[in-house]
Amino acid sequence: MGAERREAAGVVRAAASTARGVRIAAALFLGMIAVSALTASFVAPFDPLEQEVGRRLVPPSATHLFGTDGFGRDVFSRTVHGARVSLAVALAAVATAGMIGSALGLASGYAGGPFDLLVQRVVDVFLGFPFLVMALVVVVALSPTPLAVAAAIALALTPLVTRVARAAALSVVNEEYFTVVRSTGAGASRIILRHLLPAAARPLAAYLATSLGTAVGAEATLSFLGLGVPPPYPSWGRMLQEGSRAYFDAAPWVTLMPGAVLCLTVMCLVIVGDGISGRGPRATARRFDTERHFW
Amino acid sequence: MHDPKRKPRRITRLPIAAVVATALLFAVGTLFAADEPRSGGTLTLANRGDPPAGFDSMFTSSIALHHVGGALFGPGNLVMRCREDFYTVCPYLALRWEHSADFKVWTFVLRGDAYWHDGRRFTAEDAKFWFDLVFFGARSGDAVRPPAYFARELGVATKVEALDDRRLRITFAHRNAHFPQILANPRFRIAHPRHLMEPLIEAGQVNVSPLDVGLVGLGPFKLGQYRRGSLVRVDRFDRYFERDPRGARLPYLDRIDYVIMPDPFAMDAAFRSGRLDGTARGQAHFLSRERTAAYERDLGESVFFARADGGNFRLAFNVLREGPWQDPRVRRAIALWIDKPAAIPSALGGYGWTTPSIGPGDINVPTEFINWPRYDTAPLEARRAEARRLMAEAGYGDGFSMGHLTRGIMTEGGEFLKAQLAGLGVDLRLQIVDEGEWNRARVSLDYDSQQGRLAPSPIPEGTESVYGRYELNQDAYAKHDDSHLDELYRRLRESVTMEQRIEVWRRVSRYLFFEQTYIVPVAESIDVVAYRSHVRGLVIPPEDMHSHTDFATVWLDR
Repeated sequence: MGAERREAAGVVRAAASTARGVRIAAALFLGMIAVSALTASFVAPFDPLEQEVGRRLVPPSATHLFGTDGFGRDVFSRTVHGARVSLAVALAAVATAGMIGSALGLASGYAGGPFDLLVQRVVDVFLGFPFLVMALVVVVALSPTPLAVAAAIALALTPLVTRVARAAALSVVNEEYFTVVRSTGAGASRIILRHLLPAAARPLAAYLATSLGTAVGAEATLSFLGLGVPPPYPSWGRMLQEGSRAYFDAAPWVTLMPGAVLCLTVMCLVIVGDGISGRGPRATARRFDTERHFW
Repeated sequence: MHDPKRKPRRITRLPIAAVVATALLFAVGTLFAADEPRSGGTLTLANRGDPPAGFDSMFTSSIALHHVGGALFGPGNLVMRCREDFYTVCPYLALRWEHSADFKVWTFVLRGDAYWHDGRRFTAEDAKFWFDLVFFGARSGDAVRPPAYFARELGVATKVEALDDRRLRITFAHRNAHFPQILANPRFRIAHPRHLMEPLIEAGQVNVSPLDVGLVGLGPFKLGQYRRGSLVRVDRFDRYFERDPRGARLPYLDRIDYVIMPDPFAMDAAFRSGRLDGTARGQAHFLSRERTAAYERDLGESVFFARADGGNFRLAFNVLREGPWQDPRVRRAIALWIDKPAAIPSALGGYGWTTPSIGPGDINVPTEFINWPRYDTAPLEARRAEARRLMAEAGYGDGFSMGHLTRGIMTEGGEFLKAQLAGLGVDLRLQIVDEGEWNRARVSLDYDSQQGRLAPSPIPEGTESVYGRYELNQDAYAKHDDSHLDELYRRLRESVTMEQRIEVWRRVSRYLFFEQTYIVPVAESIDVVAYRSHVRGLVIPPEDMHSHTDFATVWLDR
């Protein structure tokens, strides 16, 4: 029995080690994408808007790593510049949703009573709309600009962040020691900032990291639907739309290359988010080791 | 010696021979019959969108209306472009016509067997009602209905009279020598039943649309069902008057379903999976070379392609709005700068042509009126050097910014022009708009420049609504207030011989495209539509996909 448990523990630890490697690779990939986006003008070998009809729909090669599109534009350069738009919109949306959602959720959890009830019912109303439907409605109402897209995604994410923050706050508020904290006479904002926010930081960080993936995907979806960055400026979703509509049979690289980068980015954000939250094999191994002490 | 077996053998030969002969006859008959039109069946076509403006042909030239409008309202009005020869005028609701010696008075004799879809006979009073609406609009109290957007194109009418039940007389203020040719434009459809609309107009509802009165038309198909955003279904109209050469009643089809498909990508998937018999007409829905290749590869001989000259892809300026483009030198510089052949693969889907010397491929379009690219025959580098000089001379050597109205369904043209003009220092700010906003903005002065690839009339006299003065032609490509063009169009209408027409038209086009450069013709597009090979009897016009959309002669060879 003991040997079996040791074997099982070994398997779990091996999985945890692999997962750690995957997380590091994911983080490195995200770092690379972020650096490329920040230094797009240096990394991209061509102007992303420059058209050259003579090199139209050229397949991937040493000169054009990802090939060229229907206007003869370098797909790699457009993908790099597109990362700037996609990531900026996603970051802005998640940061906004994080700030508003955290503030609302923590305050709601701390205050309780009618305020909590009101906030949660409003959150319920917002959660009643599917994420993308709400984002679509907002973008259409505001007119499709990157700022509007960021605002729309932020609005769609905020209720979820509120819920996560409130749950974390409630877990602290219900602790016995919190009665002592309250009795010190500290103000509400101080209590929220000093006691609730640190307790909620880890689940919030994990949730926001995963939300970043959701936001990147949402931005791409909205751009795919023609509601994101206007042409000819590149964004991943718009590139997918342009390629899939006109050239998917003749030049699949126009769609597949930015599509692959988009998929990898979203996947890496989810992996990193899981790592922060403590889900995944490593956490399982840790739990396994902890439980062993009680056997 | 008697052989008992011989007789039966003789007996069996006869029926065998008879069977073989019958089979042969049947096979030969079938072969010939394969080309004989068959009645019945449902044709399923994609349509680019819901027909705008309440299906009112007086207020929109959108192909989303005219793809459907041919079946509902017919291929013409009093006259039509002949199915056999696009450039000849054929009778439609009128059997014949005559003009006064000075070409100012035209009299049409109408047919007596044309009926509205609700069973009411079409009369000269109906025709008068339609022409009155076209030329003069309507007024009821304070409510005003403007004339049709193409009113000016037909000439300046002073009077429309119904002489009796079947004779209509139109009097013009000027000589109008080519009136029937201009009138044969398929956009000018009679979609306005007097007996249904006149009472509403008199009651103050002056902007009543064909949709408001149930889409009662005169075409080969009547409305079956209209579900907004989804389907326009039309069914055979049994009292339709046209007959085929054998004397059989048209149309052959029982029904046409127009499936509303704004997304060309979804349309491609539907067509390739066999859910459509034909693709939609309209920019973005017309096939590119890459999409055509994919269709051919997947569907082989079960698909064929209709090709028609699609009109001119052009950049047009709103010179009534303040900006550097009000200077003719700036507009000329822009015209010189653009690498026109580069537009064909990138902005026109690979189908197009830029000069008569290259030729319009396999499309038989008469080119006697087409001379615009010959103005700029110098090599590109020389033209661009001249463009820079003109910009500097006009005081815009460092460039400027210019707004550019672009349809959301086809941004490729805007993207192409933006990249082209960046080299000249012109920052083209694309204002990408949906179809509703496009239809509003294009007749307004709320933009700096616009582009598109609309097909004007194939005869020069019919182009005033797109090239004329804004005050008289709100839908004109370029917005200007140049009365010299009024004079040129007047001279064009008064020209009688072909030589005179060609001379004046070349004067008009030189003035428009070169001396003033209100419009920069970039390239001539070719529109490509796919049909399943069992769709037979289709009339493909050599140009202008608004034409012959009645599908009266179409039959299905499944």
